[in-house]
This record gives sequence, C-alpha cells and structure tokens, in this order.
Amino acid sequence: MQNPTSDIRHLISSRRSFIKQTALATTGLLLANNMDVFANIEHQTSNIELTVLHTNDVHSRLDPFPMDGSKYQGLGGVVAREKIIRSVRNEVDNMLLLDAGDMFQGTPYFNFFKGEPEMKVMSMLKYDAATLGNHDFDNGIDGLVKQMDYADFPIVNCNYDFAGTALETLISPYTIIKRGKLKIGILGVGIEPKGLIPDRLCEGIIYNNPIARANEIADYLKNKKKCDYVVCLSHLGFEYKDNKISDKIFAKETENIDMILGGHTHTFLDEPVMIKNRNQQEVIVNQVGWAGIHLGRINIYFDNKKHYDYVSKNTVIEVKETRV
Amino acid sequence: MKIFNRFLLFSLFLITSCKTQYVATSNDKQLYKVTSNNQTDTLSDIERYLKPFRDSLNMTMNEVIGEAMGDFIKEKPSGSLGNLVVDAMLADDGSQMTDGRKVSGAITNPGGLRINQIPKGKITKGKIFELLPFENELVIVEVKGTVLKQWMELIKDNGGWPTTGELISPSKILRNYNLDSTYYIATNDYVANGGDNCSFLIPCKKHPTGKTIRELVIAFIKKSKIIIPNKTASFPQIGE
Repeated sequence: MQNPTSDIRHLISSRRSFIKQTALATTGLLLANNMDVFANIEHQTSNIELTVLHTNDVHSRLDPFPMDGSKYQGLGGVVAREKIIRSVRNEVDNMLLLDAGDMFQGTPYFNFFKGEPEMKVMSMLKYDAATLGNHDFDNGIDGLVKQMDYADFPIVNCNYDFAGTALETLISPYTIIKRGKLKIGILGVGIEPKGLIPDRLCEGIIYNNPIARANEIADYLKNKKKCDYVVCLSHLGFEYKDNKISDKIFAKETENIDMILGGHTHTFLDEPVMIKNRNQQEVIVNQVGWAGIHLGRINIYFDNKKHYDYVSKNTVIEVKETRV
Repeated sequence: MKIFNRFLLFSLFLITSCKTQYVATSNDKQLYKVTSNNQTDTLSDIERYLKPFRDSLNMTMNEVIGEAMGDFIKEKPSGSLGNLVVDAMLADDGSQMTDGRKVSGAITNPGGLRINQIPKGKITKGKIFELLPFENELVIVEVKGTVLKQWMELIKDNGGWPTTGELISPSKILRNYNLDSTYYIATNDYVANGGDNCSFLIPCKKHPTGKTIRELVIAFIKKSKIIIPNKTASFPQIGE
C-alpha cells in the first residue's frame, strides 16, 4: 500500500542515473541548468519530505578526538554535531534524530560520571529516539536505570524481555512520532547478550529472536497503527562472516520496515545500502561508523498520497572541528 | 527557497559525491567564543553544561605518564598496541601467582582495546582510559591443555588476539604443550567469565588479582618512561 508504483520507480531510477551522469560531467555546470533539474524534480515529487539524521556507537565521545596526530584527531564532538543538527532543523520541516545504541563507554566521561552527561547531552540535542547497545549495560541494569532519568527521549527495544527487571517500565518496544502529516513508527532490536554482556550486568533480561519480534511490531505499526514509515534502530551489527544475525540478514527476513539504522560493528558506510526484504521491497540500511565522527542524513520524499518516493542519496555529514 | 536549498545540497553532492556530503568546519575561535563570555546562541548550552565535567576530568586525565617513541597500532594477528597491553599484564604481578607458580602467558581480547592507535609522543593517562575504558580486572585462569587448545583455535579463527607467552601465539596453534597439563594464563575477567565466546573458560578456576588491566598498563608506562612499539610481544623470562 505504501510502496512506490513502478512508474515512480522508473522515474526515480532515470533521475538518479541522470544525476550521476551530471555528477560525472564537468564541474563547470551552469547554475541555470541545475535549477532546471531541480525545478523538474520539484514538480515530479511531492511536497512532503522527511529528513532522518542518525548516529550510532557514539561511545561517550562528547569531545572531539584530541589533536595528537591520531587518525580521527579533531573529528566528532557534540558541540560540532549540535551545529549541524541545528542547521538541518532550520532547513527542513520534518526531521528525526535517532541513535542506534552504545551511547556509553569509551572515554573518562563514562568512567567518572556513569552516563549522565551522555544522556543529558542527547536530550539537549533533542534526540527523538534511541535503542540499546551492549555497552549501555556496562554499569548493569541499575546503572542504566539511574541514567534514564536524564533521557528526555524514548529508548526502544522489542526483542529483550525486561519483565521483572527495573527496566520493565522504562523501555518500550516502539514509539510513534508525528511529523507534519507523517506518522513514523520507530522500533528497536538488540544483539544477543550471551557471550557479549556479562550475565550479572543483564540479569533477568530474556533475549528473543529479533526477526520474529520485529515482524510482529512492524506489522502492528504499519498495518494497525497506519504509520507512513517504519524505522528500525538496530544494534545487531551490519554483517558477519558467519550466519550470525546482522542487519543484512535482518533486512532480508523482515517486512513492513522501511529503514534500518544500525550499529555495533562500527561500520563506516559511505552511503546507505538497499536490501530487498522478504516481500522484495527495498529497505534502506545504514550505519555511520562510531564516535560521532559522522552524522548520517537520509531524506525521504512522500507524494501527496503519502506514498514515499525515494531517498536522496548519500549522506554522510562529517563533523569536524579543531580543538587543541 | 526550497529549490535553493536543494540546489545547495545538490552542489555539495556534486563536490563530494561518493565521499562525504559536507564538511562542517567550525574553528577554534567559534568554539572558544562559546566557552567564554558571549553566550547568546543555543550552542553554548551544551558547552556550558559539559565544561565542568570536562574540567574536572582534565585535572587527572591530562597527566603525562610516559612517551611513545613511535606509533602503537592495533593490528591482527599481532600489533604493537596489543603487545603493549599483554606485556604490561605480565610485567608485574601478572607473571607469577602469589604462591610462586609460574604464569605461562597473557591473552586479551582485541575487542577490549577501544582505540586503534596511540600516536608517537607524550602519553596521557586519559589516552589509556580511551584504550582500556572497561574496569576489567586481571585474573589468572587455570586451564588444562585441552582448554588452552580450544582457546587457541578461537583466537586463530578470529584472525589473532594480543598474546604473549612461550606456549601461545596470536595466530598459530602451537603443539608444544601437553593436553593433560594445567597452565596458568593471565587474562581479563570479561574473557575469563566467558566473554567474547570464551564459554569454555567459565568452569575454569580463577585467581583474581584485584588490579585492573588499565592500572597495570598505566603503571607499566610510568615505570618504563619511554616505550617502543614492537610488533612481536616480548615475553618476560621468568626467574631470570
């Protein structure tokens, strides 16, 4: 119901190849020509647009990497990230800011302040939702519960059963967010804790198959709740050598999910990957490395009937600043 | 306006296609302006909130504990950064048990090293916190030769872990240990308790040392003052 018709698909793919050709052509393009291209696109596509900004595996990197000659020096940092987020917020009507887990652990901020500044800053940046990574349990369930006081955004996960733990009422399987005329469902899936999270840190949490649970929740969001778009925040990891469940496998075996924003494997993708789901519909899968070095951006255009159209390409925004 | 925005995005796409879309470079001045007196935009809220946390961390974390004579790199099967850690694990208390029994080697999981590099130059305490953020304790596990073999197979399948010791190798399964003998191996409590798919270590007897790997590495660097990257780990010769 919510899928682009083949006609639209065709238009899009020819437009994409045109853009590619244009990009390959000389850089001395006339401004007027570009304006024509866009006037054309403006006409073909709709007036409803959703912009998704996302991070994953920020790992307590509140400050940029120090200027010490290492690979990522000067990159990342929440102050620089805030600047970009703010400029995008000013530019677009409908924006979502999402995180795919492992907010905690990696700098002394976490060793000494236990996650408070990480959560507080994400609230100040106005994150709309996040999911849990394995390292978000590094101070145990109680450690996480304490920090949730500082989170003004929902944390979603649908495949951990928290019943009987202190997290039971604090984490929901999904959240629904309205942006303009759009209704967006957001669910979360987490990695199998066994062999990864020490038992004492996640005692009482039961891990369920993320595919089965996500299919249930996404069906509910898409078909019962009539969400226009469904995003899954995943901390499963992008891909593995063996058949361990990853975003690539998860994307193929689920339905009613339009976009998967992943984490865990710290995979730097230059642009989102398109994977066909079990109904042969394309799902956008993305992951933006770690440490807040990149901020992902994906635009989705919807037509007047609310059918979503496509996605403007790529979209890694590099967060950069210099600080000694 | 919308068209103009699209044009801007498109232009950025043209310039940076396939790489990154745009590079936002805020410079020192802007940043320092925020932390000084003129705090008029929302930007300053986050900076103002973080500053006290950062200042209090900097008091201890900026301490220089030693100097790296070259870049220490995390690599598989064996790299200078991993070797630094395993060498430090055996440098002091790790090499010998309290009752004098000999420790055969040290193994740590590559996932426990959270940065890929310590660059040449002065090393701060904060850098070691970035490298080893976990409160992982050094423990000595008692393993039968059969379990050690299993461990070596896992390490080999993973493409190598930081290891040191005469009986263990970051990438090979050595044959010169006895499957029926008991060996004492220094590792971190996360691995010893079955982390990183080491469930075969769960039933093994463990001797905790009460020291975190991080404090051992900090102590090792402080004592050495100068450290030199080494692609092969140097196993301390016990009793010599």
